[in-house]
Amino acid sequence: MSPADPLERLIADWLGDTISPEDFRALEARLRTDPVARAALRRAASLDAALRDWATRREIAAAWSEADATAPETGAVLAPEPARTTRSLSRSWRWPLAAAATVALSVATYHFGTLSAPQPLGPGTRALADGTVVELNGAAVIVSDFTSTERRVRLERGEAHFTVTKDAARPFTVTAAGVAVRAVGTAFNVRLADAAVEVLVTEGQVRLQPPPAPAALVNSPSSPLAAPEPMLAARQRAVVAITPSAAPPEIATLTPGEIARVLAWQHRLLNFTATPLGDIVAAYNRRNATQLVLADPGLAALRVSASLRSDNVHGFVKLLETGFGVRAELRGDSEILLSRPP
Amino acid sequence: MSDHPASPGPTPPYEEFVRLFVAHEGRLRAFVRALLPTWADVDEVMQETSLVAWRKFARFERGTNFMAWAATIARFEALNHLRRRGREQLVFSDAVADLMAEEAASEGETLERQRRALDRCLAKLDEPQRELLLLSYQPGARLHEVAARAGRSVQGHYKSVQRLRARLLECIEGELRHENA
Repeated sequence: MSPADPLERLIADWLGDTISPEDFRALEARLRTDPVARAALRRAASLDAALRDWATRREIAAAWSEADATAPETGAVLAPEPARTTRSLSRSWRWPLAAAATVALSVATYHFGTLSAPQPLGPGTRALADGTVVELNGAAVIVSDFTSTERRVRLERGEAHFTVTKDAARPFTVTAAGVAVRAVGTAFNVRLADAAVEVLVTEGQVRLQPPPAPAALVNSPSSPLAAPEPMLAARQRAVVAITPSAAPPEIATLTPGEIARVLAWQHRLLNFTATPLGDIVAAYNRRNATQLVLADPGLAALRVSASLRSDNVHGFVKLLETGFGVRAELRGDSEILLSRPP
Repeated sequence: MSDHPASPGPTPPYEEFVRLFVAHEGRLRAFVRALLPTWADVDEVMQETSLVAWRKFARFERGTNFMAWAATIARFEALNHLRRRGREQLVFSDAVADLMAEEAASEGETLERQRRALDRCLAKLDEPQRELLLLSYQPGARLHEVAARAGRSVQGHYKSVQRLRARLLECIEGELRHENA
């Protein structure tokens, strides 16, 4: 059948949320009396669901790729304060298995293609040819240009977080509106706004090169060129104005909470199907200030299926308590110990 | 789940529920998708359905059709969801929803076969076509944003996706016919 078929068109408009009330009534009338129409709708909905699962597992593959590349170091960026107190989580946290929905599909068969020539990339997470993981926020666009001596990525628009694969022989540079951020093996976020470029380092260090100043300003003491190229360390954010009369970059050290807010755009729906709890904990710890700790190592192998936002740590803990009998204890302000009940 | 420490007595209800829900989740999601116009609606209703199903699980008669039981809950939640959202004009009648639920519950392994066929059909598309579908079906994808990203009009993008869908449906039917031959 083709979309030109009236029934197919009605179904496509229904599933595409573009159906008019009149067409909806026509679809309803067909479905009420025609089993063939109902079968066609079921087929189309099944295809839609299967495509969603397929796209989702591609996202999961990307998330795992990112976690594999960054988990040990990035966890330290948002590391919690040392434990001070221990208290039980409220029983009111317990809730039924609201997130047991899963995508029962294999992930291992998917992998990313390598990108060597300058290549615009779409949204979501991408693995570059060197293994660097880029997470794009919304409509962000980047273009990569890798050679044997350097790795260059241009942020054309929007915001992106880079977790750079270490390669001392090939420095990694991100440019945005003339601002260059150079790293060897580190992680940082770059946001290209209308009048400024914001750079936040989440791991390691980067060297910041502001855009060349107009000739009239080169000799000014306040010109970006007059100052040395600043180094930014983990948790530091620089705001580099890109207007002609640009002031020197503003550099500030952010708290873990502020960093979490800046990077909140990275949170999204995570689907896990019969995934070892150890892997899921690593994925959550990678993205949140609240850290999950497996007090009982045996729990790491527990297989869990869940579909939750990546910032919904407490929801995930509730799921473990209610659905899997896991005991959770809050230690300090930002650490949750997970163990089997005695 | 399977790696959970074994209990000496009968299977704890939560394990049994999770096993059943996970086993039927794909079919249930496809059924709910047919009743709702957006994936955001589907995600919310699936979450609510799993919640309600767990609360009522004690009343589920072991040995009966779990899919039929869960589909009844999902059907109720889906229609209520649309009414709560003030989209009454897009709510299927009880008669249609009941028929859809009954037929979904009796479909058996069809969905799994369709999905295996889909994998083969996706492999027949070229990379830009797969990328277009990937962008369009990623959780949170919005039509106008994906169209803007692709540098196309919303209408043009919508038609491209519909053409690909039609092609995939045709391919899947061919694959299934081939399997049955």
